[in-house]
Amino acid sequence: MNLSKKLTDALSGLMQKWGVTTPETWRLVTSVSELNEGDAATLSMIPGEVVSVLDTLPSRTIPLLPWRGERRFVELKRLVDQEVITPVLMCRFANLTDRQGPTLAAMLYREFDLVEWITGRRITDLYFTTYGTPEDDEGLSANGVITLDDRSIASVEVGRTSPEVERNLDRHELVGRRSIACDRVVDTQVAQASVYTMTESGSDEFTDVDFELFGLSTEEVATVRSAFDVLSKPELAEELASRHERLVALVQKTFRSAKTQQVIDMEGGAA
Amino acid sequence: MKPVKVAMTSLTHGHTRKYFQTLKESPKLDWVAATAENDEVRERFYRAVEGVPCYGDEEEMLEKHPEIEAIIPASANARHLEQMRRYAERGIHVLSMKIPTFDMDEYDEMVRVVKKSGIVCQVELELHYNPVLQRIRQLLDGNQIGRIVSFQATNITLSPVWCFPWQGVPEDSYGARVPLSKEDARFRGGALCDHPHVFDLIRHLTGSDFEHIYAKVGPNIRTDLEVEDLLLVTGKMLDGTTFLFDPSWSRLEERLAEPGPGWEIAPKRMEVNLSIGGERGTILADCFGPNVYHNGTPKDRYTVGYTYFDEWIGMIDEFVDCIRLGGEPKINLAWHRRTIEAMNACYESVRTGQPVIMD
Repeated sequence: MNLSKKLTDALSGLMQKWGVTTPETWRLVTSVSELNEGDAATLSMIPGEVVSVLDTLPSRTIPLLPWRGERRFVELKRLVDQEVITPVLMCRFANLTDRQGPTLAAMLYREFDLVEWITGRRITDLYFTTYGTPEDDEGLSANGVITLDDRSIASVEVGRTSPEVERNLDRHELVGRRSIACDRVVDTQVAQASVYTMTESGSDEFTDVDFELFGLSTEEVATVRSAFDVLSKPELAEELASRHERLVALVQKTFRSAKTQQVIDMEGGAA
Repeated sequence: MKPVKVAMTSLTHGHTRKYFQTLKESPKLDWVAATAENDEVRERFYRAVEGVPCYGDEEEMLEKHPEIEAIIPASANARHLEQMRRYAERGIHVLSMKIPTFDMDEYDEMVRVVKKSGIVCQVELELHYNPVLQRIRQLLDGNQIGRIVSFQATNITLSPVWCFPWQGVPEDSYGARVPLSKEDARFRGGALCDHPHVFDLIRHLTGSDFEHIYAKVGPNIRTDLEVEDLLLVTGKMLDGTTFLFDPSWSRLEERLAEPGPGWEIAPKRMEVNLSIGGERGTILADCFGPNVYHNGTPKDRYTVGYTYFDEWIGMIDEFVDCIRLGGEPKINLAWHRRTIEAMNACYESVRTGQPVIMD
């Protein structure tokens, strides 16, 4: 089944169950081509990372930030907000995927949002190096160092050098003055699953995170949940649009830094 | 092969204890003497090692043991040139600590001293003798991931300064009191000076060298240190490989005077992990796993207990072979010079706030 159709069906089911209705027609899409095919009167929701290199979005498009609904990121943010990890002095965020996965720009879009959202800080300058053109499928790797507005620092590493990966290879670590938090188990390199099976049909593993949306992957659940939030609370649309603008600007400054070998200040040009 | 008569001096370097077992057990070595920088260090030595005399003065040791053929000077970085001169004058071979010096004039003098005396001088970058690295080399040589395009590495640890105080003293660690920048009252000589390995490994595994480097320090975890403890480094190699290093002291520790149980506050006190992206694949590697886990005494904290590989054996094998059979160690002063230059470039980048183009 087409991914967008699968997610739309799940979202429709959720809305029906919870009695959420909207005065307008809506759709949930996962690619730029689907976005461009749509009826202009319909509200289009799409993961923001997918449109991270578009100069302007079609009207009535809402860029979603699905990862903010993933439990691990919700909990990391809570650890910061409740000062369990305090103060955060350094973030180390990495995301590795394969050539079929998102572009470097899309991955940077997500990681920049996570850095600012989890820490509650704003990026003030950045320096990046890349291998390949980061805007398209040719981009293989980007590495960078970021300064936040409280002078804490962060590294962001994104890569799509693998032909194919079956599991999530991302990692998000917060280094605080008193403590450390991470979404990966200490002394491991890859994500762990909830269920492992060793049967006559071979080995397999499963990670299920949502009872209501059982059967969807963690990322699919997050996309459906974020669209559900927007339809339940229409006032979120404006906030998401503004956020998208900032994240696109950050991604573009990354490209500029890599091309010019300059530290880029978020308020202006070279730092 | 006749065992090499070896001595260890100073005993204040963080790697000191790691040599004890190899020096005692290697059939290629005969450990004849040691010197300690002070009485406290000497007491510690005698608690750990039996049957090796430990002197308070190097001259006294050298006079009483003219048979010494090689020395491991386990001392503060600032002492290395003086010690190397003394040993080279006597034709004694040297297994240098990982940072010979950050002063490039001193460095070049070391090169001259070694060349003139004809001694073997090997730099202890023990990861070259690590089996995980051996596997990575084999995978790369077998072209499993194609040409390397990105190289990310951590060399993160707790801070050893409470056990080895010179590592927090700019003059002893960096060799001079140099402020990080006009706006930053801290000094060079902290976590970066403790972690040369990643700068060396990328050169070794890519076969390329640094094109430019950008480094940024964060606020200190340990606010009472006058040297940096958190930093990140990025840049490019001449072959286009993009890199990202974390050489921080980002794992918090109990402030013990001597390494031992309960040292860790963060569960894992040391990590060297590599993520290497190629044109046809990716390698992720933990150079020091798998391990064991416990929440034992004295703090009952969940802790990663290391199951160390003994890289020191392969390193000593090479050192002895070079002495007995002739030859140049892989990690010699000439090879290592560019690694030290790259680390200095990090400090220069921190000072200027800009990337540094390497000459």
